[in-house]
Amino acid sequence: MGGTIFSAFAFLGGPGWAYSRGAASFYILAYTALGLLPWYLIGPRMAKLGAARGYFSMGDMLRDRYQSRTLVVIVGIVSVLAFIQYLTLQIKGMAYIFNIMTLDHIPFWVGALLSYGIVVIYVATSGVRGAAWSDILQGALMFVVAWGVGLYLVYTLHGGPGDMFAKIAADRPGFLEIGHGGSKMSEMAYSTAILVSVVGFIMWPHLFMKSYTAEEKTIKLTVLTYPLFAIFLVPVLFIGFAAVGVIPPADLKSSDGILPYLITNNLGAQGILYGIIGAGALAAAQSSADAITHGASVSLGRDVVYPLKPDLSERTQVLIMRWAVVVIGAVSYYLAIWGATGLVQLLLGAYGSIVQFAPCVYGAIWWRGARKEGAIAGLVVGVGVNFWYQLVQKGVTPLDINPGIMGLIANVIIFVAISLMCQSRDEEHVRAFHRT
Amino acid sequence: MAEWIIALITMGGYLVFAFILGMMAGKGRSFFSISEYAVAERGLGLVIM
Repeated sequence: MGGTIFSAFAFLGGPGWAYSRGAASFYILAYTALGLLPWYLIGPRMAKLGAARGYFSMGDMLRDRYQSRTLVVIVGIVSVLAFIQYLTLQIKGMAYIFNIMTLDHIPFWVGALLSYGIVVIYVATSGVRGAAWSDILQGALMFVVAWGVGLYLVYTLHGGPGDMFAKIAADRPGFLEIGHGGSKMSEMAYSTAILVSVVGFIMWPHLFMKSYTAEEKTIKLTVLTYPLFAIFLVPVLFIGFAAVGVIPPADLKSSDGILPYLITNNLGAQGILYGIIGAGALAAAQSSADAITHGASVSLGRDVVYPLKPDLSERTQVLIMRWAVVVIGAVSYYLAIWGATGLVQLLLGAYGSIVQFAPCVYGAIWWRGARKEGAIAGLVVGVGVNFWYQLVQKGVTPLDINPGIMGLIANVIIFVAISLMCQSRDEEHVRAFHRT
Repeated sequence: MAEWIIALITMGGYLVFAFILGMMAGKGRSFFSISEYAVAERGLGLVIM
């Protein structure tokens, strides 16, 4: 699970945020510690329902509970689009790592094609098992490389974490604080960034689907042990902080390049070292990319195509999903190589859409009064409000509240109000669902 | 040998290993089963998930 969750962001965006935004990067630690907690409640319930009622995707559960094809198709489309955004981030990361670690000899498009191409092949061939098994290797490699590089840079450049943070606090007052002068993020922006990540974390369909892959006890154990793996993030942030006051921003094209820059300029020219670190960083990107690609293919096949063509045979559905891996992969690759946006902004943008699933998912599980009309209306309004603030208002929101949270507030109000106004069309079905 | 080529070979070696692991995971499994493709027959564990 840790391999799936920690991505290219861990090696590129994380240090980049620590380097450029200081204490604002601590939001990563906060949401990592809290993000999987809702799964302790939802996961076992979904595992039980999934086994009993034959669910394979989030859409299967929503279609069963709300008896609505429209809702599922909307969820499927939003999911696939958000997955493509998330995948683009990973592929850009892979391309960047390959290019930097080979000292600019391997072009972006080649590095991305090599590292993501193998992901597409093994996911299309082996499905979720391919992603899960490769994640073990990738998770272990990420952990070892992150701690090795993180500690080495901190002790080499500063003599230790204590000296490093003392120097930063002295040279840049406010950089290690939230909401004060010199800080890069207000308290509201910081808090709501954490909130949108925590609420939206398990709403990512590829993580939600993990509920159906294991038993209830295994899910609870995973939630309890996951924060241990999240310790991996500590040296990742150290890497960024180690560069503060050492590497001038003018030397970098973007702050996301701080780790590759430190490696190629401060570790000495040793190809084997670049290769090992590059492999660790690639592992981080691939371990997420395989799960995301698989999740996207299931969302497309099961939540978009199947509701529109319910008479498809199982064989055809699986073929559609396996081919969807290739199509979604190709689209994401194209956007990654020829598109342009900062790494972390891409991820936060995708989270803002996915978090809008929370009201209808939680409502489906725990509120017998939840109605499909409310779920559809809330989802549409929530996604609309999120995009309004992100794209039209360019992230400017009242009180500096995260755009995803703005959408969520509107979503919940509409979902509850319209659900209360609508009658259930099949009360017995709702009762049976909740009795399972 | 140039350092960048050593780096490329090292990363390439990892990619080959990851690829083989991913491909082997699905060996012997039902190719046209939704349950297998989507949720691994609901049988994954704590470490492999």
